[in-house]
Amino acid sequence: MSTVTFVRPTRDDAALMLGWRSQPRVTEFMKTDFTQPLEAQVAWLEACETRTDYEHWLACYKGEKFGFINISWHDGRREADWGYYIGEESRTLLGATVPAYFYNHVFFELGLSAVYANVAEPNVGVLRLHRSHGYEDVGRIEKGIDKPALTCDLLRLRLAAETWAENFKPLHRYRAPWEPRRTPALAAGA
Amino acid sequence: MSQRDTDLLAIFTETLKLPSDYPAGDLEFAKTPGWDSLAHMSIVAAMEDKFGLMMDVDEIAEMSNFAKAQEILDKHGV
Repeated sequence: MSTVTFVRPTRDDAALMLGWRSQPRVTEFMKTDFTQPLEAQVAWLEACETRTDYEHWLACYKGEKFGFINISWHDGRREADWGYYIGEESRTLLGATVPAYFYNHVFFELGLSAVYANVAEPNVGVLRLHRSHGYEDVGRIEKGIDKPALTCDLLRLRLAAETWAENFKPLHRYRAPWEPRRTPALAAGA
Repeated sequence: MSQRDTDLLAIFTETLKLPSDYPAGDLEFAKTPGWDSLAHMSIVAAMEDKFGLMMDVDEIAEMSNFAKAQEILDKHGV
């Protein structure tokens, strides 16, 4: 059994996720700084359960949750935007494997043709990571981040399924179980 | 230092763009300059190429310093 798994967050994860999302290391390059109370986080998690345009997971290592991944579907569900962060600093050694698990899931199991990521221009670490995985630059969102601590452009990047399939074969071994949605109709992509 | 460990150290110093005589005992994830999660995967890939092995995710998750990299090579019989 894989030691890495991806599970759906529940209301019981609200405090954990709020703690992660409030860390300066995590929030630095996010579009917003996170200030909402726990009750709002719980309500948001519950509202996400019925959204058809958005899904998310928690990454786990040996059952311990360490990171967050989200995906926002485009019309037709052949392409999507996505993002992730490592919440548990002690698990940053696994940070660069999480995208590989994600690409193998969405390209080989869900059949997406491309994924997109918006990355803050000063976030050179993630830009380097994505470009090393075959992303191409496809746009720029001027002042895509405009908050008290940071104003900067977002770079829009695109990774095509065929690029991942053809050029990154050594990384195709990163496979893990991804928990499906609990709502059956939504799990079918309705 | 054995030839194996000399080769292993070279992987670290070349990947992390460190001086070739960088002390092996000072190599530690997130503390050694340049050793971030992306560089970590580059080190893993270079070790797999050089020593002909395939590391599992547990080994990737635990290889936080040079000594642990040596232990992984030992485990693989390198």
